[in-house]
Amino acid sequence: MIGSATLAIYEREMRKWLRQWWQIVFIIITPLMWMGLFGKSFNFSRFFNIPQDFPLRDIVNQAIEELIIKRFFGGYDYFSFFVVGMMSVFILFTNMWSGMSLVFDRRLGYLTRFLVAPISRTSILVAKILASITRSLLQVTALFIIALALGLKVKPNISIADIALFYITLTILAFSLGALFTGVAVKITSHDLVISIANLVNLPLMFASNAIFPIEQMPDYIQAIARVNPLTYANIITRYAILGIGTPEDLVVSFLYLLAFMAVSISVGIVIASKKFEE
Amino acid sequence: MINTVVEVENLVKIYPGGVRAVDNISFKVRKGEIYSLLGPNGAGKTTTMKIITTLLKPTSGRVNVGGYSVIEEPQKVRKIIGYVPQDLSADDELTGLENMMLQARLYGYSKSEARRRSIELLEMVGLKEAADKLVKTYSGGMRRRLELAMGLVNEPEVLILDEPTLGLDVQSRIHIWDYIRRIIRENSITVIMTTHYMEEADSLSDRVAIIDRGKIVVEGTPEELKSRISGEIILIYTENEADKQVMDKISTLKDVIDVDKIDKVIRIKVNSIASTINKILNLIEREKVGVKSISIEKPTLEQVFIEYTGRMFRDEEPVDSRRMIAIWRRRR
Repeated sequence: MIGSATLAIYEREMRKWLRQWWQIVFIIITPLMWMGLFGKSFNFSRFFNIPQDFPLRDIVNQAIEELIIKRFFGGYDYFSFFVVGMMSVFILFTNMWSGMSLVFDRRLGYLTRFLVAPISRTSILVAKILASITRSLLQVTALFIIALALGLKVKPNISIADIALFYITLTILAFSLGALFTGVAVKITSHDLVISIANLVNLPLMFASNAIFPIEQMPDYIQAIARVNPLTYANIITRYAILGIGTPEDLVVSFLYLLAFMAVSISVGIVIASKKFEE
Repeated sequence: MINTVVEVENLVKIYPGGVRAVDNISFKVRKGEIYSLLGPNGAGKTTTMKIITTLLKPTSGRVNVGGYSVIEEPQKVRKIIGYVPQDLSADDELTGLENMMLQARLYGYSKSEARRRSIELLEMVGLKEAADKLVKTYSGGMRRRLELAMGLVNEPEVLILDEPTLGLDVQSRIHIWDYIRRIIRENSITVIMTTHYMEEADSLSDRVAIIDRGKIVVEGTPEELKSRISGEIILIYTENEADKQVMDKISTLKDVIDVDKIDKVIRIKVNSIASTINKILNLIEREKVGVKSISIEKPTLEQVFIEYTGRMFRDEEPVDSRRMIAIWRRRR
């Protein structure tokens, strides 16, 4: 169970976040630009706008539909494919900063207060990770609603279970990334380095995944990264849940992969963090 | 023995890189007293505090707080200590009350208990009106008071104050001292304090340990320490500069220990002012040097420090007499 100390620290984190309205505005605006500008400017079906008098128009159209749109994007327009895939990227973008508050707590001396109190070291980290997860899930919810308004088409028979699967997947991803980046931040006391690390990983992880494009058409070396990238697996699940793309087998494999990734991230986070705290 | 609350024995801390911050320190703090570690910046005070508060592990030695070892039972030690760190570390983005309540909840108080205790303490340090204001709007003195209240939230047996008035002006400093005295009187707790302000150690402490370069050089009550400085000091500001002959004559007077001068100021160390002052003044009159004014220096902890370490105490606010001592030291 979550201890009262964890809860108290969690409340502090959330209170501080809610008090800084501009932070909330920014975690909506940046993703909105990705969705509105990138997602809307790549309209694949327009690429194949075949003139009325083109011979075999219907057959070509059907071929494109079957071979490209259905195969790669599951029969949906690019925007829906992209937006659902980007949700995991937004989870990454938000949770990769989860260690920042720890770095600043240390710098401003606040961490000392936690360390002299009779609470476990873990409860400090857990509170920070939970706060980061909460923030990113609230963000994704808001963005999802905006995406619906911008034209996201969900699968016709979508159920509560699908929505739950979507959230569970993103929560697992957020927890894994939060544990990893918070653990690293225990070790790294310079905020400059934390910023550098976050900036180093964000774009490669986004591009070397199936968030923007299907990985089948990527060169081998990018595919190699994409196939170990947890974002890829999260997207397989969320696209299955929201858009109905993919097979149940893919879903199970991806889910197991994410669970394994979570186990590894948490272990790595704990190992790094406990070494530093026990100085 | 039964009254010893904090016991530090042969404490050594060597930082990675070989810096010996604490070099075999031992001391005992008795129940209900205010014990000060006085020393310049970098003397090892804060390192000692960090070890007592379980924030840092010692290289060797033993530290017990309330009967618990800081190494083996850190959680038990943490429960019974209150710590007021050197940095102003209350959260700027929270209100005073929110800071207090978070602190209380870290010590296991329920929300309602935390609120009750927080309000009570905020009232005690005169911050009840400012309780719902963000800490970033507080003045330096208010922040120090908040830190003090935060350190008391768990009703500690031992309160640890690391430079409790660092960076405050003299007025606010005296204000904080009053609060500290009141807290101790009303809660009957033991206090360990570090400071590099002489007056602070002198006016607040029951006992003082002077610490320099990682070692305790001397320990005792402020009065004891000051009485260990042999003699008293008279400063005579003269009309004309006294020549060597006059100086020699003064030095041969009975009960005069030492004489020195800087320009038109003669500094005389005597066994007893009462028995020598007349003779000295008469002599100076006879020699036509002319007395402008006289001042008597009471022994201070600063002099104790100089006496025991052979060095000046680096302080941020040099006053005239201190500068005098500095010059006098260098000349000798």
